Amino acid sequence: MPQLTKNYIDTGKVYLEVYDYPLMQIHPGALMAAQAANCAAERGQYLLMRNQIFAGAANKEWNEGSLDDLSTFSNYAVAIGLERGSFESCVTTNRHLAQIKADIARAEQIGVSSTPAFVINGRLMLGAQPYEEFARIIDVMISPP
Amino acid sequence: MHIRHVWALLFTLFWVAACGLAPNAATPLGEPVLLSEQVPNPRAFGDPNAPVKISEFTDFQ
Repeated sequence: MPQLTKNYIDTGKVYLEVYDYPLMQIHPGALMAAQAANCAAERGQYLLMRNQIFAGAANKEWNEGSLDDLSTFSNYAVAIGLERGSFESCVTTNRHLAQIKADIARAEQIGVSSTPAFVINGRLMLGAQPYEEFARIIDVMISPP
Repeated sequence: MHIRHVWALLFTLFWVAACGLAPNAATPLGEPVLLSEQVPNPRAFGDPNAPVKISEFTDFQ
């Protein structure tokens, strides 16, 4: 994402919106992760929390949405400057569950069935892609051959 | 218009404005406004008028 941000988002060529599509059958912790990210988003810290959550997943710091995972996410929140109590309240009261459900409905309407998934100017692209693939597609859309 | 009605109207307008401008905006019933409907969208990056729009769907794992 850093290259995409630098070359396309910061230059006004791309607008990126992120939606949740927690695959709870195979990733039971994904719902709590989405809640944590959205609770940070409401405080303007979505990107920092997203980075923390992804890094934590890679390091197996959280997994199944347990109380331990809530503690882990709370530690991430504190690390990015959020207040633990209000963050935990936001997560445990499912404050953004309606948003997540709306995101899931949107995904299913589009035909998303796995993550990550991307819709680029209406074109659905499933699976993680290297930066070069994004750049190629975006460049064609900006300057068609 | 009765003075009481004027105050009630002013209070309502203030409340609605406060809900809409707060960082974690809420509806009058206390439900949070969907993040994706807030302006700016806190889960979005870049210029909304950019020629290429990407929607990313994630589950963080």
